[in-house]
Amino acid sequence: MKSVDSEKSYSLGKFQERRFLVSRYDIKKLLSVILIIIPYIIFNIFTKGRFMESSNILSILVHAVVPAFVAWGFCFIFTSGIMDLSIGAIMILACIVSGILAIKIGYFGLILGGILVSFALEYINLKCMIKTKIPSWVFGLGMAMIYEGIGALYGASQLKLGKQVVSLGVTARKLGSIPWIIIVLALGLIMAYIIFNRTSIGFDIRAVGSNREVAKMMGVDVTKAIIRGGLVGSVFIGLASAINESYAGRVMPTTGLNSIALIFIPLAVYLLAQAFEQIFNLTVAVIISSVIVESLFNILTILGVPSGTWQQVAVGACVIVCGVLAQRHYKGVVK
Amino acid sequence: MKKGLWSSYQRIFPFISLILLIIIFSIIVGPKFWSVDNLVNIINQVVPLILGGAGMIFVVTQGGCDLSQGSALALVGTIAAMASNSLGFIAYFPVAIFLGALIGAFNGVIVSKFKVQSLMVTLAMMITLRAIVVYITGGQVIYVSSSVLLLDNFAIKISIFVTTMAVMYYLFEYTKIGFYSKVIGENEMVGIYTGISVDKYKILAFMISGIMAGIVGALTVGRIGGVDPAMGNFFELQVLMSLFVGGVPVTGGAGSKIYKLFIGALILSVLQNGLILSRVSAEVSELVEGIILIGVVFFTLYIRSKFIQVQSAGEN
Amino acid sequence: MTNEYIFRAEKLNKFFGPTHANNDVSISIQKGEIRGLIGENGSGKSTLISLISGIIQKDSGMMFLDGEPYEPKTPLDAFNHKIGTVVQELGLVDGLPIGVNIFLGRLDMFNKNGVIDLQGLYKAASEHLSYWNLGKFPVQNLASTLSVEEKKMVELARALSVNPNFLILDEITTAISLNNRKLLYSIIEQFKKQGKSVLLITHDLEEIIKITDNITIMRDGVVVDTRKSCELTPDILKRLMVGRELSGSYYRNDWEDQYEDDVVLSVCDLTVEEHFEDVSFDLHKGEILGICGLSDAGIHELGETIFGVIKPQKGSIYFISSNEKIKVKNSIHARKLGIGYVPKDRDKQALMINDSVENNICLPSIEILQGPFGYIRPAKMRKLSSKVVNDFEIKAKSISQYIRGLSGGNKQKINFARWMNEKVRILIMDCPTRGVDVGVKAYIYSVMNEAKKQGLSIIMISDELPELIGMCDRLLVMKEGKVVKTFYRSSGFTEESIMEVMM
Repeated sequence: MKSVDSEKSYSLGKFQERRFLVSRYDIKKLLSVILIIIPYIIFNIFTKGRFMESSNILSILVHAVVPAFVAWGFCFIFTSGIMDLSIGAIMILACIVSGILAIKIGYFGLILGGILVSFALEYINLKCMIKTKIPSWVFGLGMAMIYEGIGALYGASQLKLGKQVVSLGVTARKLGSIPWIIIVLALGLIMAYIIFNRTSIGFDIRAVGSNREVAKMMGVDVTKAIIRGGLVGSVFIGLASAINESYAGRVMPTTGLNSIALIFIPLAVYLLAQAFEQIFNLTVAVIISSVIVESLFNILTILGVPSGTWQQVAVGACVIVCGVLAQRHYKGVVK
Repeated sequence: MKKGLWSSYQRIFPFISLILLIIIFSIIVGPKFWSVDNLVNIINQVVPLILGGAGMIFVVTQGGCDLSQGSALALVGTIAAMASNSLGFIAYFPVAIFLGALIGAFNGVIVSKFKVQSLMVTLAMMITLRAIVVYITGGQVIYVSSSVLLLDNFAIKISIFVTTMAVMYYLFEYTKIGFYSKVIGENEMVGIYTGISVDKYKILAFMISGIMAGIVGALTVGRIGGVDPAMGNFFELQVLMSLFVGGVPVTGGAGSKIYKLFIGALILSVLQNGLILSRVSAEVSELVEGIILIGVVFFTLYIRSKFIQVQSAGEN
Repeated sequence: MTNEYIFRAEKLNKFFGPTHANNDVSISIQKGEIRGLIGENGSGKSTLISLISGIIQKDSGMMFLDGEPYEPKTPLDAFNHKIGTVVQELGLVDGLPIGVNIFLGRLDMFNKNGVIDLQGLYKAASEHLSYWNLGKFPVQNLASTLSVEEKKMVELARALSVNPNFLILDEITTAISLNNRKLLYSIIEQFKKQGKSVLLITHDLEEIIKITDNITIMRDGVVVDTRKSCELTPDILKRLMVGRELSGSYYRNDWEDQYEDDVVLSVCDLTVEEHFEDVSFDLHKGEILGICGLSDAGIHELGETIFGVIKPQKGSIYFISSNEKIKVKNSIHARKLGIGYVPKDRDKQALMINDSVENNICLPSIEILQGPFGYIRPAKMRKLSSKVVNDFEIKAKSISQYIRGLSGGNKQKINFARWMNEKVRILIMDCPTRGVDVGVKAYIYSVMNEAKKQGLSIIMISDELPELIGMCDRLLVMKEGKVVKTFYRSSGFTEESIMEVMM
């Protein structure tokens, strides 16, 4: 009997030690917040206070909204291993429809148009990807060409009529401006957090992403999980399109796969968020990362770095560095 | 009987597609399709695709992809052109090859040592390198010395093409670099458990891909007669499409063969050339190419799975 | 209408490619019965369990649950029919909290207005764990923080959480300590009292005889017999499992430590965190050195570390040839020095299943086949692979046949035979006869014996004691990551004495 007791207390002791580790995580959290803030202060001094001006901070926040929404979309789509490169092209089509409907029926149309298009197209993508078993990135490339083609055809037909592709003018522009855009950001965070952490959709997609085989044997319907997660993600992508349309007021169709460039910044945000995942919840980390990435561009702009060249280099470097950081914890698992 | 059928489908399918395309465009476009000018056009388009593909095939066979090829060729072309302007033509090819290898090595190290997906790394490199090109050129076309222009000679180009391809064919089909690349693509675990330096061969594959991008870059500058910051835009996607359309498995592994690259590049070039001659707009061609990419990849995957069943049964 | 059988299967068949994994399997389990299921690796036990728990679908046959036809399409179907399963080598989803792992797949029962009541879930998980007395777990922490044994207990809790009438336990006891075993026995006892049934799979013959009412024996995908446990002894069971008297005829027949004095490999203070620590030993020329232990003793990881696949935190491995001592840096270096490795999982770690016999055989020898300028002549590859296929009597239709289509035994022959080239001096074999039939087993042993006489040194890692006893000159027994005892062939080893040290 005695030995049983000592065994039990031994295992309890181990857990207590882990609780101690949890508190170490809290210290880690605090440390990383400090580590994030320090460069801000340094840059603020460097730019003679221009960087931390309230108007500048607000502008960073506004810029961070669309990438954050797209990155939330990635949380639900990429986490299960679906690398969909057509999301940029989907966003362009969603922006077009969103703009058209906004002109007709206002804000309701703006949001509905964005969500409907991205929902429908992502559904087609996921269904076909799973059916045909084509690796998601190749399939995404093909679909990106198709969606871009459709967008460009529409654009060309509008130009022939002498019109802009979609121009909102002054209608439905409030969603993309302060204070609404910040409110939407907050709502988005709450939505993403709850779905990712408090619903079976979120748990299923995380289970599939963490260990597909085990999840399957535990009764998770992997196909269903991927599709449900992907559709939730597509809603975020649709919202991002609507916000973007309202913010920019127009959209330019791209050709030659340039639409992929649209998702570079969100990709960097998503990867950076993954690197932070050990410390912050992924959905929260998305906002933090989005602000960090946008701050970086802001700093570069303040420092007079041209937007076409070195800022692009910064995006690329950012994706690579974030990718390396995101995989850092993964090393033990990948043999 | 049925078994033999699948195994020959796997080999014949791309050939049939190519012949069908040629017949279709011969009818739609008419004699213009077979004119000398147009044939030279097609060859001019095929040559860089095959050269680039010969580098890319190592990476794809290992189950990865190199999306930075197009930007790499632009950057390498730019710097090699500048080097030849200041150091003379002797520096042209060495600089191109060295720089290509360097870019490839960077990609390879990040992919193998830091375990980041090749798709992400090379996507990031694609924008980064392009931005550097734009910065260096200032968005303007740079002109090059006359000796570089000599490269636009058909005979010189073909002899460079033939020697390079002979080397690449040898490396891929008859040396351990090609063999191990197939092993890594089939199952990386197997490579690790049989004591193959997986990391080394991954880096090597990206380096070869970079070097080929360098050679294509050098030839492209010669053809245009200067440095255009937009050159090689989405070249890598054309190369990937050539490989997949030719029947190289998207997932890499044992099904990769250099001859498939040749057919794939021909199919793609004939298709694009034919679409242009048939006066199809750029938007529609992109749409058509997308549909064809997905359709063909689906078909080759399907045929390959049948082929594996047949090969497993062991009667051929 | 009440039914005396909780579960009945009639003529179940399942094929995996050319392997007939379950051949007309019929089994009936009564209510309140504790049934044991036993058989060698690859005898079809796990397939049967996967069929019952909906992980895979049968090719033909019928199953009945409580008299009703039962056709599970998914694991969820099995849960809903109150069948709880702990599957061997499954584990948990590391990226999710422990509590969520227990209810994953059925999370909707905590659904409140579309949102999962996490507090309620954690509370239910804790209550569930304490109801079965499984110990206290911080249920909100990630499953990745648990040890192997703790994970097994959570898996058990998961199986119990469906409130099962029929509980299936596949090799759960090997991974857990004595205290938790006692706990498990009491849970099984409780099931019996409530008229519920348990199907237990274990390799521990004495355990299975002690706990179960009846034992079903499987061999090569067929149910051989079902007998009352009280009438059985481990020896009878073994005979039924193997299908003939175990005479040791296919093992070595000498009882001497036969090896030369030259040390070829020296392992010093090798430590890999969480797996093993401070392992030291010497391997001699012409020696077969066995390593055994329970599933979490670290034996497989030790093999991987010696070949250089896992990097040790501490210690080193030295390859010794003609008085030269070379430190083995990694697996590439190991192969170049002449160390070979036969991995445990041949489909995932050893063979390219969608590639030809030829390429698979040539894989470790490619650098030997190289000519000038690195030229690999296809004719040379063909010659080598044909020779290996002939020498080792590998049953393949041609060298271009794909590995996928070969039987387990022939795959294993390739996995093993391809290392028998002129360069290899040391061969590390991890579970060399797992899932192969008796004929191939005997063949592999005879080749090992022959090679040993030629001076090859072999490290044989296995969880099957009889083959280690039958083949090894020396046997290292590991427990919880430490070498606890070394047995010598000359001083004789028995299964009992080894088991005593191992448990």
